[in-house]
Amino acid sequence: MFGNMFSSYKSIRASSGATGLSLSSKQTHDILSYLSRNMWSNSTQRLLRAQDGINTQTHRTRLEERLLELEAEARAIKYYQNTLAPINCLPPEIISIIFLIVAERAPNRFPSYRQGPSVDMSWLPCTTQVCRRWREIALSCPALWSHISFATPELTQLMLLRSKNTPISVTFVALSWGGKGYPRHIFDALSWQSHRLKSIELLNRGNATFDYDTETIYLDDVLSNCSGPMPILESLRLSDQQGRGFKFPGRSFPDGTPALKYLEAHGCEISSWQALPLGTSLTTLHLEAHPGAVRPSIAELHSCLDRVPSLLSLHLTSFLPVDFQDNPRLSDRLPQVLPHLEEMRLVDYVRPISNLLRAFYIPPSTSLEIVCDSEDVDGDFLGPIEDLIRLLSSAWDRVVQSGCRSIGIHQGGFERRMGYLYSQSVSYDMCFNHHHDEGRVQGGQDLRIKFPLVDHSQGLILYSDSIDTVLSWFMRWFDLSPVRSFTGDGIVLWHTTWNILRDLAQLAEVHLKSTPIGGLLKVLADQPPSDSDSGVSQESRSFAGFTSLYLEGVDFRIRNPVTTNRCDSFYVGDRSRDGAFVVTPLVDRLRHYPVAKISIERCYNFERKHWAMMQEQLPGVDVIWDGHEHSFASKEPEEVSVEEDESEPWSDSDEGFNTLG
Amino acid sequence: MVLLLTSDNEMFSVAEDVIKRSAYIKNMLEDVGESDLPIPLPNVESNVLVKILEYCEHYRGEPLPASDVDPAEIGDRSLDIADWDQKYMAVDQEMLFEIILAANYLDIKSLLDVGCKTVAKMMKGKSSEEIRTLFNIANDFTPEEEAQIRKENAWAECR
Repeated sequence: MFGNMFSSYKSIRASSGATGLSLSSKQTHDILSYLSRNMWSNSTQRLLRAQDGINTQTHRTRLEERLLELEAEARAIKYYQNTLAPINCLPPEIISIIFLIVAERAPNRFPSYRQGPSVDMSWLPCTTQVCRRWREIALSCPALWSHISFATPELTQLMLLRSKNTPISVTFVALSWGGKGYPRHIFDALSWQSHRLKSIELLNRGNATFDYDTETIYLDDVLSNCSGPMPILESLRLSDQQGRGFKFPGRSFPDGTPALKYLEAHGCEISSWQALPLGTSLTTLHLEAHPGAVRPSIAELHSCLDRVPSLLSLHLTSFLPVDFQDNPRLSDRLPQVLPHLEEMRLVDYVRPISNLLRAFYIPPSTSLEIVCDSEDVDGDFLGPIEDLIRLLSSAWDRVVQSGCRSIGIHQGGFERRMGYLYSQSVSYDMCFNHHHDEGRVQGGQDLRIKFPLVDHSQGLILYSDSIDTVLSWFMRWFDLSPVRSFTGDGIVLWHTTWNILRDLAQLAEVHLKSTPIGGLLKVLADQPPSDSDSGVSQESRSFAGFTSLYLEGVDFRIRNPVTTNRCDSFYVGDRSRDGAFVVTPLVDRLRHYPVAKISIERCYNFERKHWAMMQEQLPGVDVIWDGHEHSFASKEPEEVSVEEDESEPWSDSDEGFNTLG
Repeated sequence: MVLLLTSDNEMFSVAEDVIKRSAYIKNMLEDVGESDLPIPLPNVESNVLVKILEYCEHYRGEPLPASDVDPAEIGDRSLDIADWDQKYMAVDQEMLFEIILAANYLDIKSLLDVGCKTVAKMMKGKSSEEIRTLFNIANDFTPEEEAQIRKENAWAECR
């Protein structure tokens, strides 16, 4: 329509000889007449006809008014048109739910580590700025505005206003190098809106080279404004990772926090354990000390934990008492607290952890993780570990006595306090009352004890072959006889370790992940259980219950690792070998054991021909292979050559170790 | 079996344990007891009910959600949607909104949750103009509202 109109208009101009920008009155009249006839409404036409007899200014004013009317009418038509859009058939309450999902951030995580309000406001344009109906819905949905942003004081005020009386959440991440700390208007939310605070998350993040600007507002300052009543506060998460630390609770929360369920404070000094905002609603308590923070006494900690009978999860990092080293008798342990505890994580030096185990009984319903630091050890790390295992067996006696069903030994990163990754670690994972393949069962408990493998800062090296020693202590103080499953993951298992495992009569499943298989091959060769001449009973034979072998990420060209030292193992296979180097002796050994299933998954240098060989030479065994001929595997099919066993390939000296020290 | 009569007068005979995923029908059956009379569903057309029943059939035997959950609190608010649900929701917009409306009417919380997440996922990360195009919505803001929006945008920007 407009195209036609424009061409007609041009023809009028051309026929009337108009040039440039100026039009004669006749030309104007012709254009108006044309437009009037073709597109203006009757009201507009009447208005234009009323030009005669009034001055130009009045006429212009009337035209402007008419324009506004038309714009309003156009908007009204668009508004009506929008009601016919398919999505607007949804009622406001459903659109509100959609908006809340759009605005939702990841739960229980600091959303980002950049300086700023830490509240993702990207939901604003896609909710409030699309059309009037959506804006009305968004503005009348207080929950949408309840996660208060501190980007600017104005936005904070707006959000506090629009969130009406709904419970609000406050989140802020302050970076040290910006030097700004917390914005002053955060006090508005904490001071004046304390009655409807449901969640507070404040994070200081930065490095140790902080410029202590006297005008910067720190976490301590913010906390000092938390002095109003907070009857509905459910979650309080405070974290200082810049090394400055903060005093908690200081003068905050004088009226308590009766609804508090989740309390997390990292990098803090507890100024008064009695003043901690604990209550009967608390289910999660995670406390991590600022380096050098004063530790509680056993009595203070016990009293504190006695106040939180509903607690389900307890993490204590570097907050374990050190005033209990001379507990005369383990039977004098303090009365048991935390009856409903489900999960406990202790991160500290070995001795404070041992102190705690001397003083407390661990509730039997708990799953336990112990992460041992090593900084207070003068060269003797293994001795205190044995003590720790012994104490654990009596502090957690009902669980330990129930018998261990599976053991896993994993190598991984060792996470020290304040989130820094320091070195490698070995963790011992045990399942009690359930087997890991049975999934989580009622009453099942897990234990994970993690030791640093190498701590260069302290010159401490816990050799990977200490696994034998640690495992023998577990054997001594725990009941390992029901163990059905063993997993080795990313570790070196020498035959001395396998010598311990082979005596576990119930051990049915062996899982090896990225772990050389040489130690197992050697111990399988040592004492075949079906030796008719051996004269030993079935139960006392090695690997009497061995039925399933699971191999994942194992290199079939390597039996044992080649290392430059015992800490930094690396695996170098001989490229002249192929997978038969392991397959041949494995088949030879397993023939003598009651193995019914072998699973091979994502292994290196294991090829179809090896699979065929295993199937052929192990009749009755279910050999499952995922078909991945991984990485350095030979592409060309070739004859399987049966290699002679190397003479004594298992000894350390033959494996080329350079013993340290 | 339960008889359901849609707004376009189609009759459906449905197994009770399938349709009980609808809290509305479940409550009605508990209140009224067994009856040969069909339950009228004046807000649901037959083509939509077919889709709804496909969902209920797929989740037959799965535990029902608690009945006292506030619709605004259903499920977790992450945008994770199960694979089957994503395929199920791969329909045109009109059918998507019809499913949401029917899930709301029939009080099938998990389906309402999936529907809302699907729409939210379509919106997330888009500009207002992109959303208008996506859902065929016109910009009908008044100048005052436009001014307020500009102001809010400026406030919401990080310092």
